[in-house]
Amino acid sequence: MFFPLLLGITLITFIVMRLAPGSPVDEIGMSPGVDTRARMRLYAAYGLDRPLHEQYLSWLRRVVTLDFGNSFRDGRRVSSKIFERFPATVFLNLAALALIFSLAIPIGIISAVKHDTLLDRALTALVFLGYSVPAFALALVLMYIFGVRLGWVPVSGMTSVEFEFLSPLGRVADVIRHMILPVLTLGITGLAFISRYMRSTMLEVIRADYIRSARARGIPGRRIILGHGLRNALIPVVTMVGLLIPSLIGGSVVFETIFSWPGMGRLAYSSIMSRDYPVIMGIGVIMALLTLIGNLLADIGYAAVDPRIRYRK
Amino acid sequence: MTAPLLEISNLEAVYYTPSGPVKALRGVDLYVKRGESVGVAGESGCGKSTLALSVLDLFDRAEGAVSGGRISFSGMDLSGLDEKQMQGIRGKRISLIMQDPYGSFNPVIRIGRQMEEICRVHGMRADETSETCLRMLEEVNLDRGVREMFPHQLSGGMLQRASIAAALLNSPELLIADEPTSNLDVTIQKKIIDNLGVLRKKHSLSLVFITHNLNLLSSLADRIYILYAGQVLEYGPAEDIFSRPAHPYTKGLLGALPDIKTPGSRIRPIPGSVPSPADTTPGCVFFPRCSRGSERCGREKELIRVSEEHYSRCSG
Amino acid sequence: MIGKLFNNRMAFFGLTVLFFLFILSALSPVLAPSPPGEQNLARRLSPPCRRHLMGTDELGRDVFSRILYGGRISLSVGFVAVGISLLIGVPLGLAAGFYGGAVDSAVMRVVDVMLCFPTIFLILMVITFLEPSIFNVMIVIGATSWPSLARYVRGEALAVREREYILAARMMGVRPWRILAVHMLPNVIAPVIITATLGVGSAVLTESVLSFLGLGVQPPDPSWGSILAVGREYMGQHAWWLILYPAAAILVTVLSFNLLGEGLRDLLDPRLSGKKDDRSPA
Repeated sequence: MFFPLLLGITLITFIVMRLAPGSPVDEIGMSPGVDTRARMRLYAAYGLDRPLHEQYLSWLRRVVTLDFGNSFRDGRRVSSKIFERFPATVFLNLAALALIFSLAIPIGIISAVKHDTLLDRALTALVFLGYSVPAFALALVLMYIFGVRLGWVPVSGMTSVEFEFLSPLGRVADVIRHMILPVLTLGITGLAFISRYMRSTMLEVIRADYIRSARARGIPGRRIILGHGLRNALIPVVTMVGLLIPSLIGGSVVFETIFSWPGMGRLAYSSIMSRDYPVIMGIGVIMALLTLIGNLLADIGYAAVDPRIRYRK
Repeated sequence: MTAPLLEISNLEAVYYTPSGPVKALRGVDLYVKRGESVGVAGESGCGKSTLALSVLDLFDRAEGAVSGGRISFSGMDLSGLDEKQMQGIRGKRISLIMQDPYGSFNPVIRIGRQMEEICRVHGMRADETSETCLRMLEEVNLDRGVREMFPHQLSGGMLQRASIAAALLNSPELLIADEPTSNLDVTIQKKIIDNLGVLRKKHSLSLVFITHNLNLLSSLADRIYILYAGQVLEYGPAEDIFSRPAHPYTKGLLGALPDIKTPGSRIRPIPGSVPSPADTTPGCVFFPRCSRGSERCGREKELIRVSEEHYSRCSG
Repeated sequence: MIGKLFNNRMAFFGLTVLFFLFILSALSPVLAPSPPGEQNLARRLSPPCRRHLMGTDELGRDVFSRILYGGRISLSVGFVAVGISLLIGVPLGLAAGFYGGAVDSAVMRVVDVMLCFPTIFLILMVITFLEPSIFNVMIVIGATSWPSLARYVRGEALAVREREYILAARMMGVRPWRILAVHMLPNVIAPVIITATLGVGSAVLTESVLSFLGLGVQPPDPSWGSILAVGREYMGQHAWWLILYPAAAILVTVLSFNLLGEGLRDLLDPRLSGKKDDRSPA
């Protein structure tokens, strides 16, 4: 499943990019004073004169070694352009994932255990609001209130200007202050989504026969919820990570741009704006690859928590 | 006469439905003496399982509740206990075996760990739990390897044995078995019932055996209650119920049993079905299906004495 | 059915707000104090006042008028995009579920591959070589949002396919397209209506993100997203009205579609309410 999908991903990326009518070669090539021969030389230099399937195969051969060619824009290697931005994006996404799961699981549990109480209704309404809120607009609202108006948190970048001069502890604090808004706004939709999902799976579990059996045996309530219920409720939630990851990574394009976060998402946006195809294609493949890896990890996690998958009779 | 181990009086229970609460039990009186085996029989929907849930207060908050009456166990009023005290009773002094063996264990935890947990939460010393679990598995004729298994690796019959073992871990005084064999095939059914009979004697257990199959009770029960539409229609010693049933419904139930002594005899099912608990027509609850009803059945009927220890709401 | 819709508080509330949004959009030429493109450089970045209920933007245009007209555009983009997504996703999902085999695996492989890409990135990738315009935004959102719908419809179709009455119809030689249209389509219609309702809300959201990034509705056409982009630029000058009002407009619209969608889910498909759903989180 992994490799056919990977092949499909590269194919789609390639097709989409080759369908593009304009390329930087055209932009240079069409400018006055450049003759046809010079234009052909440029095409040949980028390999754009060969048949499509050849172009794809030669591109694919290089992609396998993570060689996406050179940027149209500054001629630097695409892989090094991407990988210098990669850690910041992974860091941001992992922080968002951590936020999502550390809040969504307790919210879901509380809401399910106290179902149909005032607390549950309040939480459910809040989650519904979080589910519907346009996160990028919320980012601007929070940026204005807490960054511009109150000046509590920085609104752009990952570090302050004086970062170099801070103590190690000060540096950590500085990065954390920069992370607050991006992580919160990147995570909010997923947080609402997982909370809601957690509530419904937990509710299903609570009503399961084996929970009533556990109660009938005198197992205390808290122990039933945390020891028996949580594990079962988490099983379907783990698989949701597969859906969550592409949306988080896609979100990084938007939120890294808004908060000038020095990551892959912001690079994707600026490459899209300047039609830097090799970079866009490279990022597309990397993002899809991250999704595949996320799915793979979710499958492994699924097997780890569910013995029915592990021990097939 | 000493006070019975379990005494239920005038018990009422409701389920909440979208169209309002519905009474599933309408004033049930029942008692179990120490060491006695009591059968509760009735068709599905008559309130049998509700009775089991009520004794241990296992309703989900939004699902239903005991709405009246009194349950006293060993001289103690169970409705006066808080949740924590109830936890001390459940699985320790009163155990319950449920109908669906597949729902009796958590699917993602090994059987052994679930059994040991039951011992631990009721205060058994850590060095005794493993020993106790092994001994109980042996008593229900299961291999000790079952400890290391997950529920999906066992058959329904094995699971039900395991849940009997789990129920008896803390040497309870009372065991309530709610249709423990109705999801199993007949040969396994017989083995499990025999096993229960042996265990009952060995551990001097009191037993409440709930079933829709009156036949099963012939070898197991000392006394039998006939439950219908949330009411006890008749109760008495097992041999009286089988040989001299007083209530037309009991007679109907017996008529619906295959008779192995007379070859070629036909089963006579009771026409109609159990009224919905939402139905609150006054009078005898069995009247709409009764073959010999008369107009006096339109009035509420009390339990009347048939003979020593044998009561019925109708004399037929 | 309609009565039930009014009894469901969520659906009723969502529907009422949407009704007002439609009225406001339809009547925007009447209601708007000025044409959306009318500039008044003397009154640049004016905070909300009696003359400009929601203030003015960097060119002195009335924000209230631009939000009204922007709503028109957003709602049309939402509906058309979902229409396109339905036109692609429903037939493909039905065909995959009905024919199974090679058709099924071909469709589902494409779906799987497309779901690996973050939707927003896929959209951005495609929009780079289509000139950004309202029309292209509709097409691109529609063309990238069908995979989850197709997967959903396929699942429903698969479940329906095995029912006895469909098997019976097939054995009696009823033509496949007739089985599809007469027997299977009605069975998937309820979940499709729910998904489509929720989809409009999410298409409106996507449009505003694209416009915010400068890749959606192009100036001088008004759009909630592009007002927000200006708001971001002038945040330092405390032009909060350029952020708050369009943000609120998007929130109210998306919220209403979600309320209506969830309400419809309760009504049309009780077995689904509060249960697993197959939509991606964004």
